[in-house]
Amino acid sequence: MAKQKEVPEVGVDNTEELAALRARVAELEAKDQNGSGANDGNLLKEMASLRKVRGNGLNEIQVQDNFPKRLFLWHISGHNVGKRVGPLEATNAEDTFMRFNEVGIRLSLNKPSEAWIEEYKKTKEYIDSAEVERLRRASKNKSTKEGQVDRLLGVMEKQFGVGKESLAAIRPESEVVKRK
Amino acid sequence: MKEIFKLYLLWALNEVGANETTTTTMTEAIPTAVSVALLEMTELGIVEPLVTPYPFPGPGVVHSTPIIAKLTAENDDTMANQAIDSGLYTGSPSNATVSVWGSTVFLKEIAVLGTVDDLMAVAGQLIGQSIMTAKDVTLCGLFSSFTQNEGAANTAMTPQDLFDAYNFLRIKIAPQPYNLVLHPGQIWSSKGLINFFANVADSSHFSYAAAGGQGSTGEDFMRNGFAGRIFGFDLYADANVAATSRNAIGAAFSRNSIKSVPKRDFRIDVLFNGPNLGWQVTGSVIWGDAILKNNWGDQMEFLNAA
Repeated sequence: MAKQKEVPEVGVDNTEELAALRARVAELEAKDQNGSGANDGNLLKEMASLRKVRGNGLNEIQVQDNFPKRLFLWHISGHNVGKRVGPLEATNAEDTFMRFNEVGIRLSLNKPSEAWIEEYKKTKEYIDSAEVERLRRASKNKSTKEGQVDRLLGVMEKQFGVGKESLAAIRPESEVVKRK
Repeated sequence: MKEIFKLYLLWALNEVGANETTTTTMTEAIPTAVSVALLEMTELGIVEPLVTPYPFPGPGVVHSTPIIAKLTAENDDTMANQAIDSGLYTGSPSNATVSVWGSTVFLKEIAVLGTVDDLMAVAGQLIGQSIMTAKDVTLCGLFSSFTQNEGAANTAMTPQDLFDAYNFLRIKIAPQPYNLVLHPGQIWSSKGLINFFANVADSSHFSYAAAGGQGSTGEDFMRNGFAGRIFGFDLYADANVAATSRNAIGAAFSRNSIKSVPKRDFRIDVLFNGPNLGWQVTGSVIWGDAILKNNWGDQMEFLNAA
């Protein structure tokens, strides 16, 4: 005997289920109407295969490029660990390797794994370099507008003895313009 | 009536003549058209004109530029000899290995006969553009090999980053003018350079805007969509700048920081391939590039998308 489908009890809220079912019906109807249904998909696949077969050896244009192999190097030390360098031509990759080594940053031709990077981030070397970088960025970020208005209000508060809230609050027109 | 029918036949034969093409052959030519369109849309050859050219005729495939040490003037009438070779410099000479950059197209006779366009011209255009794109990508790849980096990954550009880059180049006595090549997303995205000129008060906007609007450079962006000169740099947008999903590595650099080494200019060779009934069209250059002076360039690694 086939197992019967569970019927929701009377009083159970099945609004979500109904909404999902209605959405599914609407989706199927839309597919049927705009031609993206399962049958049409197969037809398009057939057509694509047909064109592929027909194109071979006829009037297709074949393009092939021949560019030197380019390499990527990866930071394996410092705050930028995991960063990609390149693409570089082989001699340039070699020179880059040495140049970064001179400034204390090790590079590798092998991309470090996420797990390796996570482990490296626990080392003192990384923590120190990340802190230097954090301070460097903090000083640069001062050049943005962040806090400028607050700072200005602070100065005005001191100078005029009026609270920040009053200075920043714009009163409605009805309060400041006398009506005739 | 017969006369009219004869006239109609003549008209039909002239109108539907041998020069007409069929839908099928035009369809086959679409990939060519699409490629041309895509390449046209990409801004090409941005960086090469901004760096120092070192033509390299004659034998050899590695172009080496010795770094000449600077002299120290003496206040004495018995001066010491000072070497001007690279011996006094701690770094190594700048080496660029030249290699072949080329693309080849096999144009079948049937495709040429069946298309209204001059496919040879199209092939040449495609080849030229593909080579230029590849060269530009390689030149942009050098940006991330400058050891100095003003920015950082997942960080929005700040005005101070640009002033710092200018400062760095001036301290290193890099010859002017200075170029700033950025990914388009680093200029026009919601995290890009244009935000410095927005007249709004939030954390990613330039404090100068608070003083009274966006300024004339901001107006240039509003009027033209672009400002040619900004923070002391000549600004260029290049879609070939290396980018990941959110970050891109552009550069602020002096012309003398990178060298472009053409060994042999662009050339197209055409060979008819009898058994396959078509022309092998090959375009190529022999060329190389390298960092010329590391301290005269500065990586600009910033967000290129929100």
